[in-house]
Amino acid sequence: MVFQQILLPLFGIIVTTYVFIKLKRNQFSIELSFFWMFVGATIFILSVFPSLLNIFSSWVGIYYPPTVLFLITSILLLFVIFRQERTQSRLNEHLKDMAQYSALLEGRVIELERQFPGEHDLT
Amino acid sequence: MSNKQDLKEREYQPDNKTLVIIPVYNEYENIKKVIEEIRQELPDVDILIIDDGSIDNSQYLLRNLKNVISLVHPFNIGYALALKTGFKYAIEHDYQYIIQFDGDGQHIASEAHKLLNTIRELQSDIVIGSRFMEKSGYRHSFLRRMGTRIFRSLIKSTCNKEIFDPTSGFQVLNRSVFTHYARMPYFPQFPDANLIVEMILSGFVVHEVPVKMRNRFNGKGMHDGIFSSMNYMVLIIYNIIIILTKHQFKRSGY
Repeated sequence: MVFQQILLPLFGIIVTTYVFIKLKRNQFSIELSFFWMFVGATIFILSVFPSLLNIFSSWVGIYYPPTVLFLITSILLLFVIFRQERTQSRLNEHLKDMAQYSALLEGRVIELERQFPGEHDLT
Repeated sequence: MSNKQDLKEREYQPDNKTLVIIPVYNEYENIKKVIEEIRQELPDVDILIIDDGSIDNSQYLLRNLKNVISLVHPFNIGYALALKTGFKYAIEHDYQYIIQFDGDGQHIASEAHKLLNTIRELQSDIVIGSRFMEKSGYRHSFLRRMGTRIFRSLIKSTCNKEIFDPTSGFQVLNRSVFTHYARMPYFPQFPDANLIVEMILSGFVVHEVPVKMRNRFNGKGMHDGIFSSMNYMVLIIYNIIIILTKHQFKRSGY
């Protein structure tokens, strides 16, 4: 009882506050924080009004309400993992592009140095 | 060159050195027309084009254009960050004013005179070219019109200031503003109403001037489509809420 009525709502508040503190110190992007604010608020709301879970579970046709919680959590986690993977693949692509871009730039610099020899020698 | 000489050389520059920045992404067909128009209307400003990793032939075209400074991102990092690249360039090269201009032909170069005159006469920090202060032929999709209305009332209730066209990208900024932007960590993905709210709350002076705009020459816009418009709306409103909360905390000393 204590867990559900005090600790869980407190956890929701802590998540939201922590995200907000990070935002206030400019250590997190506002766009990405949206999801975590949503998570914090959901934890808070569901722990204060657990009957919402019952309503929702009868809605979807699940007999044991806590399973709904697990279902939602795993779907959200899958979503987070997918988003991470997407970001990572994009970053990988960007990194390769950067490497090629710097190689091309270097090529142009070398070509310029050949056209104007002597002026850039540091040795 | 010594520092002293460097300073002296800077004194000779006109104190209203102005740069037009045009972020472009796949605007091959429009760039040339846009540049020609600016060259004709504003002969003594410099033009900076930031190509945000276009995958059409824009880069090839840009390399061969004369009288234009062009910077190229190796890949697409978004409109907002392309602007930020422009701000950084302007700081490095001692510009006093920046004209933010779209590469798709929406903005009319001759209208920039009004904005420049206002920023000089009223000593404002940001001057926004507004489509909705006077009747103009500009057509807007239903969702965008709704969005503009919501943003307008949000700004009015929070900053006590009427901004008719908070989503206009046609703006003139002075040096203190673009220096502020360039140093801002996590520059917003969509620098629209949220950024205006933040600037007004931070004490910058914002003015608005009625301008005419066209519908874009060719191609598709940034926020076309229902899903991306909705995503955009939700993000901006959330952004404004966070900015307001942050500001409230700052005011009460936390």
